[in-house]
Amino acid sequence: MKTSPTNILFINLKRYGDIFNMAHTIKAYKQDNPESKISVLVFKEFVKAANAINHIDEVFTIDREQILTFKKNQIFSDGLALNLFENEIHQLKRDTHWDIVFNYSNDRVSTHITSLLKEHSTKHMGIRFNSYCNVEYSNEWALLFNDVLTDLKYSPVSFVDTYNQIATTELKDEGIPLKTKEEYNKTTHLNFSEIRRMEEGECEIKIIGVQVSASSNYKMIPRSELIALIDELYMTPEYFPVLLGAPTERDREIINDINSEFNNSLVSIEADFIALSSVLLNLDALVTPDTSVKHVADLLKVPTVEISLGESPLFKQGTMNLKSVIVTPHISLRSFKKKEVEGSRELKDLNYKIKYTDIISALQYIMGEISDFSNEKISHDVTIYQPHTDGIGRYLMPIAGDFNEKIELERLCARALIHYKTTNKDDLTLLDKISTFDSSLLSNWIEHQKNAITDTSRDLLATLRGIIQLTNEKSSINNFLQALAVLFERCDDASDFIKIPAIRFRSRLEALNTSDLSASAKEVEGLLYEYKSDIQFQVEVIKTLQERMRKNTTTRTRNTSRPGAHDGTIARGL
Amino acid sequence: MEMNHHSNSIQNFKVKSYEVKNSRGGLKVPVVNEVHLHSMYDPVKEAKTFMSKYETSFESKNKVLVFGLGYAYHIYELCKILERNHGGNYQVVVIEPNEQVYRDCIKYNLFPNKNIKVFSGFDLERVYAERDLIDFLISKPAIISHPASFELYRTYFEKFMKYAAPTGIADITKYIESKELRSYLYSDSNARSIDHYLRDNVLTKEKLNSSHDHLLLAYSHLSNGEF
Repeated sequence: MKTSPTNILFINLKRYGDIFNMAHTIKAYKQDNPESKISVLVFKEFVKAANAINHIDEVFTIDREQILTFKKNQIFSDGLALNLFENEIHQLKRDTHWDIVFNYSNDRVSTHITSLLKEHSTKHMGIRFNSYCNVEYSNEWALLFNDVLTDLKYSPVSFVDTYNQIATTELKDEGIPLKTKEEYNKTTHLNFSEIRRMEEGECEIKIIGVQVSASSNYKMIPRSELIALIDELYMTPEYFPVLLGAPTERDREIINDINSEFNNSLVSIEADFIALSSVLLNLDALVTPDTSVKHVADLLKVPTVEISLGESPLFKQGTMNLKSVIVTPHISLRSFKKKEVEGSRELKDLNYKIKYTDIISALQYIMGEISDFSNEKISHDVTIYQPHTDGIGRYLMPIAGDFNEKIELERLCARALIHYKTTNKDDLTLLDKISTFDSSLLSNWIEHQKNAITDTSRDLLATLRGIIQLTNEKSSINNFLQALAVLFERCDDASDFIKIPAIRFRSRLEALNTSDLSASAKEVEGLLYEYKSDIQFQVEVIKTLQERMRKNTTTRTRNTSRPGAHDGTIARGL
Repeated sequence: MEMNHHSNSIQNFKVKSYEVKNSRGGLKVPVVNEVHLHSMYDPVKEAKTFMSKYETSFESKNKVLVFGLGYAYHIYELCKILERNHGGNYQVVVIEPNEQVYRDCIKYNLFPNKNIKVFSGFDLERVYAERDLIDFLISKPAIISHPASFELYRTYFEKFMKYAAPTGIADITKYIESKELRSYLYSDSNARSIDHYLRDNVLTKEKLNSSHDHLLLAYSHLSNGEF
C-alpha cells in the first residue's frame, strides 16, 4: 500500500500568477494524499496569493525586499541581510523533517534552498544540486522542465501539467482550490442578482467581467478597442459588462477614464485577491489580458477569453480550462522573452492586432452562442486557441484565425514524442488531430524527420563506437569527443521533434558526477543507449502518424463531404 | 550661567568650548564652540516658526529622523504636530553627536516625551551598530535637520548620510546570530566581503560539503537578483 507523505514543502519564489498557478498542483496533491501537511515558501511581498490558496497549512516567507534594502544601501552591513536570510531559512529546518521538498519555482535560489534542506528531507521533487553542484532530477519531467522546455519557443507541454507530473499527480477538475469569504460571496451574489433582475428583459442576462489592466501597458487591450468592446457588450441586450480592476490608483484611473466614455454608467469593481474570487464566481464569463486574474479564473473554472500579449507564454502558462479560449497575435510574430519585448516597438505593438470583434467572437464561442467560427471574421494575424485533453494533460489547438501549420505540427508532434517517452504509448487522439493537417505539409515534414533521424542514428553509432573503442590514447579521446560534438549539434536543430532527445542526452551527460569522460565510459555508453531508445520513440511516433494519415485519407475518400486540406486559416474547429 | 569646558577631541570634531546660557525669557540654551544652538531671544518661538513649515508634511508620515537635538525645543514642537496628526502613534529618532548636550537636555528636564529615541556619540560605527536605529531607518522616515546643529556638526551629519558599513567578514559576523554560520564564516575572517568569501572558499571547492555553502550561494543569487 502506498504510504502518503505527511509533510511537503513547496518552494515557489515567483510572483502572484505563478503562486496561484501552484494551487492546481496543491489541490491535486492534497486530493491524492489527504493526510498531507502542505507548507509553502514564498517571497513576503506575494504572501497574499499564498494565503488565498486552500489546503496550505503553513506559509513561510523570505523578506526579499528587506534583504535587498540591506544589501543595496551601503549604510547597512551586508551582515544584516545575510542574518535575516539565515533566520528565515532556519525556520524551515527547525523541528521539521520534510518528507518532500518540491522545488517548484526551479530558479537558482530555490534550487540551493532545496539542496541545503537535503539533510532535513527524505526526498525532493524537481531539481536540486548534489555535492558536486551537478543537477539531480527527481524524474523525467523535472529534466524536461529544467532543460528541455527552456530551449523550445513553443512549449509542447504546459507548466501546470509538468508540475503535476513532477509531483506524480494529475490535474483535478473537482474542488475549488481558492479561499473565499462568505460575506464577499453573499454581497457579490446579491449585487449581481440585482443587476440581472434590473436588466433582464426577454432574454437571460449574462454578466461579463472585463479586466481593464495588465502588468504592462503593452499587455493591455488598447484603449480604443477596450471602449469598442465594452460598447458592443453594453449594446447587446443579453450581455452586461462589469469593469474589473485591482484596488490601485492606476486601475482606478483606467476605470474612471473608460467609465467617463459611458457617462459613468458602467458598473466597476475593485477587488483584492480574496474578493476577486467571489466576483469571478458570480460572473458568466471573463475577458482578461492580466495573467494573474486569468490564473484565478482558471482555478475557479470561470469561462474566460484570455488575451495573450507581450511575453506571456501561452503554451506554458495559458488557460487550462476547457471552457476558455486564448486570443493571441500570430505566434510566429511573438517573442516570449521579456527583454526582447521590452526592447522592441514592433513586439509591444502586437496588442493592436487584436480587435474587439475577435474578442466578441471568442466570447460568443465560450458562451455557446456559436458552435464554431465559420461565420466569424477573425482579424488578420490573430489566432484563437482552445485547450484539449490527452493522456499527459492539456494542450492548445488553434480553432480559428490565422495560424502556421508547420509551427503547430512541430509543437504537437514534439508533444506526441513526450507522450510516448513518458507513457510508453502513442496518444492516438492527438495524432488523429495532427493527421488532419495539410497532407503535403505532413508528408514533407515526415520525410524531413526520417532523414534527420537517419543522420542522427549514424552520428549516434559513431559516438557509441568512439566510447567502446576509448583508450587512454589522445587520438582515441579526440575521435570520441569529435563524434560527441557532432551529436550535440542536434541540440540546435530547427526541429523541436529532433532537438528534444538531443537536449535530454546533453543534460544527462552534463549531470554526470565526473570531469573525466573516459573514467565514466560505461555511464556515457548507457546514456547513448537511452538516446537510441528515444530515437526509436521518434520512429514510433512517425509510424503511427503515417498510419493515422492513411486512415484519415481512407475516411475522406469514403466521405467526400468532409472539408479538404487546410490552407493555414481555419474557421472551423479541428 | 554654567560653564563646562571640553578639550577632548572626538573623531574629526573638536569641542573647544561648551557652555549653557539663559535666553531672555530664562530658557536654557547650549552654546558649543561659541555657536548658539537656539535663539537667545525666544527659543520656543524660533522652534514653532521652524516646525510650522513641516505642518502638512507629517500628515502622512509618522516617523521622523532629526539631525540635531540641542535642548529639544524644536523636538517638542515636532511632537505636537505629530500628535495632532497621529495621536500617540508616531516615532522620532534624533541623532545628536554631542553626548554632553544630550545629558544636559535631560538634566534640565527639557526632553519632551516617550516617543523619542536619541542616538548620541561621535563614533558613527557605534551609532550604526544600534539595531533600533537600523530598524527605524528601514522604515524610510522623513528627515529634518535642526539648522544650528547641522551647521555646527555638518561634517558629522554628512558622514552619517554617506556612511558605508564595513563589508569585511570580520564585521559582517557581528550581525550573524547563528553560531554555526558565524563559525563557518570565521574560517576566512580576513575575506574582504561575502562575495570574496564565496569566490575563495566556496566556488573553488570540489565538493559542497556544508549546507552553509548552499545558504551562501542562495543568498548571493538572491541579493544580486540572479534567478
